[in-house]
Amino acid sequence: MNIRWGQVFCALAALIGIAGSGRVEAGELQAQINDDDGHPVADAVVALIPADPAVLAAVAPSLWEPWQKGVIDQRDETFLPYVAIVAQGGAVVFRNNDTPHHHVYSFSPIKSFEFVLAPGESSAPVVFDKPGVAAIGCNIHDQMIAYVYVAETPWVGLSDKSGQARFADLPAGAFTARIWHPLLRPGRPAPSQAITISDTPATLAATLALLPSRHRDREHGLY
Amino acid sequence: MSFRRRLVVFLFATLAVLQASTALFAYSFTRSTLVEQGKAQLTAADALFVRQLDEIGVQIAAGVEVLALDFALRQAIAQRDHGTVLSALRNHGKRVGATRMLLVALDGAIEVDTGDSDAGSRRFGFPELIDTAAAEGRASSVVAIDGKAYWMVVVPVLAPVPIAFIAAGVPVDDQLLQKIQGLAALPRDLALATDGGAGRWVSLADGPGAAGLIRLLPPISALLSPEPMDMVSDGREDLVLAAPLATPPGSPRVIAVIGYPLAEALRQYQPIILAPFVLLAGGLVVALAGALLIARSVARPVEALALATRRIEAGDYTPPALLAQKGEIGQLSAALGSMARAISEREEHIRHQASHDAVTGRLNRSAFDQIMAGRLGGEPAALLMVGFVRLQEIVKTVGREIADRLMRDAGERLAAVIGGASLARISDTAFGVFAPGLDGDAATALARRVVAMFEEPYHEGDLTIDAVAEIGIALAPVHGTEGSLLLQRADVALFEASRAESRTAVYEPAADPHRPEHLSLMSDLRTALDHDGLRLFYQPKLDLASGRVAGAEALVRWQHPKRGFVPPDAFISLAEETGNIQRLTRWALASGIAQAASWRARGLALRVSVNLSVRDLADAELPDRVAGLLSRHAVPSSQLMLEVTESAIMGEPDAAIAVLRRLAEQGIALSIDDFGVGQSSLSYLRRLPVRELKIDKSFVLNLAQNAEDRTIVRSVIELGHRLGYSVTAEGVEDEAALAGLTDYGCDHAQGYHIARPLPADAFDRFLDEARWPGQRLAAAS
Repeated sequence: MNIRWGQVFCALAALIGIAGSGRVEAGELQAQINDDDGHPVADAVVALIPADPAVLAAVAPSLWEPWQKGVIDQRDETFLPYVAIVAQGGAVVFRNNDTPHHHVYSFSPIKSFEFVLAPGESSAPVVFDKPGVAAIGCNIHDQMIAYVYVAETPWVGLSDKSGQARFADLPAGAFTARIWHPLLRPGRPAPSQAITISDTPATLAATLALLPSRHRDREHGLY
Repeated sequence: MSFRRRLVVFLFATLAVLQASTALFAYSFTRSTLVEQGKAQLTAADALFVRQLDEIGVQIAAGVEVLALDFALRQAIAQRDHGTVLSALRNHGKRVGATRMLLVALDGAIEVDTGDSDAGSRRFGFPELIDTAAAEGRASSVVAIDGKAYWMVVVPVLAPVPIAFIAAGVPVDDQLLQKIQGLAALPRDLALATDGGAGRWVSLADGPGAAGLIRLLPPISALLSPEPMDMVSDGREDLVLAAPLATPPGSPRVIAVIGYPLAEALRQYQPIILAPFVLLAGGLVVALAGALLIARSVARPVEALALATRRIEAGDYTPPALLAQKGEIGQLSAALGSMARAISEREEHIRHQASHDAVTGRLNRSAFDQIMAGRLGGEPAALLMVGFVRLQEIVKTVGREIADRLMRDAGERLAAVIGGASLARISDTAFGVFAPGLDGDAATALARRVVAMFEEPYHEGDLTIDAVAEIGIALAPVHGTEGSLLLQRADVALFEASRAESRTAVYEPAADPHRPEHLSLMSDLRTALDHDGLRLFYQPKLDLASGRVAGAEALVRWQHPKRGFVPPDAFISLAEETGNIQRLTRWALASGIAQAASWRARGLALRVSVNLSVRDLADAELPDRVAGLLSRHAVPSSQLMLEVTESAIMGEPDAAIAVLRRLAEQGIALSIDDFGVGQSSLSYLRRLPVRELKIDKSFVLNLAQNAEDRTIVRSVIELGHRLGYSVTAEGVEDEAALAGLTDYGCDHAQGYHIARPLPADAFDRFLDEARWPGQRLAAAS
């Protein structure tokens, strides 16, 4: 059973939010992400940006809490998770749970760094203070890739294997749903949709044009 | 055309046709095989070429991929440190052999270009490669840029996500093609070409043997065949296969061209294609030699046979020297040889027959003529003509077969006695002996020996035959220098010999009545007979008992208008020989009887004697004609006497005797002229109606002096009287003879002492004035 930390945080945040703010937050959203061929797409980031910036400013700190820390392990020459989400200003710790040394680097504009982790070693937390996506690589193992999604909103989530991402306790109102995936063609704007949250559960369907992925091929055992 | 030439031409033509068709077949077969091979080879080579190119592309791409992973490079790219990137690209480009390296942003803008430091904001020319590289991690394609070919490889720069693309341009140039050709053992004729923009393909890179290959291609407007094309240009022929390579949009089309030099490939087979012609040349020599050999074995013998035939034609019967040949030629040769032999034998036989007498086996007349012609000339020689005058009689008596054997025997006998002289049978009755070197005396001596030898008679069984030989001799050169003339003269001499006691005679020119002028004499004689040119002279016959002239012998006298007096001996014997004597006799009879009638009219009873030739006795009409003449002139037959020589009637056939009998029956008296010199027998005479014997004058001329003659004359007179004949003596030339004859009781006398032959008028005068008057009619009756 692969329990996603994001979901856990989501549920917790919703409980805290309900308990803390007392505001009625009953909106639900279910997003379904598929690729061109109609296959469900996992590891797609869905970020809901409220149309009213005030809504974001009024977000309770507890809602941000789950996105303040992230961990990316290195096991079997693989970064896990593939996509990690942190809120702006959050930090990620890299842990080497593998037998060889691993090199961790990022040339991403939002955060550039580089270090080497010996087996069993954990890095100092790497703080991501700009929103965006940082691609993380290992200079020793070319195939090792991970992404750190630095979100500007606490209402963010990853699609599961069935391509679904669920949101609950969303405040009613208008949102822009930004969708990102590592295999989106680089250099092109990420797809986004406008969506309105109300009492009734909303749905969102997005179709992504994805590049074939070496990472995904390897996952499928074809590399 | 000779056989030989026909043979050569035929052999050569056959060989030429055979070899030419072989060459044609070899050429077309080789060519089509090569074309098929070439096409298969080209198709395979083309696929190999493209695969090799792809492989190189993959290698280059792999290299570029590796260098794109260089951390420092990625770092510089990520940090947009273009100076570092440019130098790193230059450096890394050398590792993969690229002459141009570009850094292309994700949106296709060129950020760094090693070929153009001032890249500006140009966009990468082959966006499709970017797309492919983004999707598949790499992209590579052959492209043409500014007339050069490149492998353009595009790989993303991963950090670890694609942050840019690196494009590497590796030139595909002549060296690379040479390398590919060498590695893959491709044909040397390979090249890359592109659309040069002028409607023609232009070369991008040439393999080691591709010079001029691109020029063979059809213009760009023409569709490229996926099959190998057969291109002919500039005196070369090539199979060409042009395959388009995958090029991205933005690059002119690029084709891979492989050629198969057909003409060159064919050149390798040139010896095979040329071989028939070499063979043809060799074959020509062999054919000529063979034709000559065959001609030697066929035509030569034929020509030799033709030559042999011509030789046979010319009379050379040597057998053709080809009997060793086998087959038809040998048979022909053998046939020709036996033909030549047969002709030779036959000719020999004919020649022998032509030159020899069939009966005696001796040479014949013409061969004899040739021998004489060969030997006559200056040197003295004798020709003896040996005649057997009795032969006709012998033939009639014992038959021709025995006569032939007798002549054969005579030939043998002659051959035995004449020594080295030539012997030939030159007529039925005569042999000729030609004896060079013999003079007259020697010839006469030889002739006497021959005559003596033939004294010995011929014996056959019980039969014994006297083959009396008579020999006439003519001498060269005195009597003639030509064979024919000598023969003629010998013939004349033979005639003389028959009268001679020795039975031999040498030719005497003076005595020869057969001189050439005599031939014209006969036509003159005929003219004289027709135109009364002859006259009869009359010589009185004196009746010794009465002393009166009782008759006259009529003698022909011819006064030739040009030659003058012609002696009777000369033309009478000639007339006998030429068949004119009967006309002469008829004329003499007519004239003589007319004269008798004339005398009768004057009262004279003169009996006219007319001489008959032996040939006249063959005339069965003679008695009737005489009777006609007598009756026409009213002359009694008793006034005509006919004189025949003793020799003329001896041995004559019964027909002649019958004529004499019929004349005698008419009452005409017959007289035997020249009695005593012939060989007549009295018993034979008794069978004839003879009334008078006329003693030959040779007994009378010397009667007074010669006692023997007197005895003969007396005996003849007595004998004649006893047998009932009257007797006349000729040649009385003196008174003594006349007296003697009168004494002996001779009936009549004739001669110069009484009177010469006289013309009719002179005869009349003689009767009138002489001592012997003519007998009167009254007295006669």
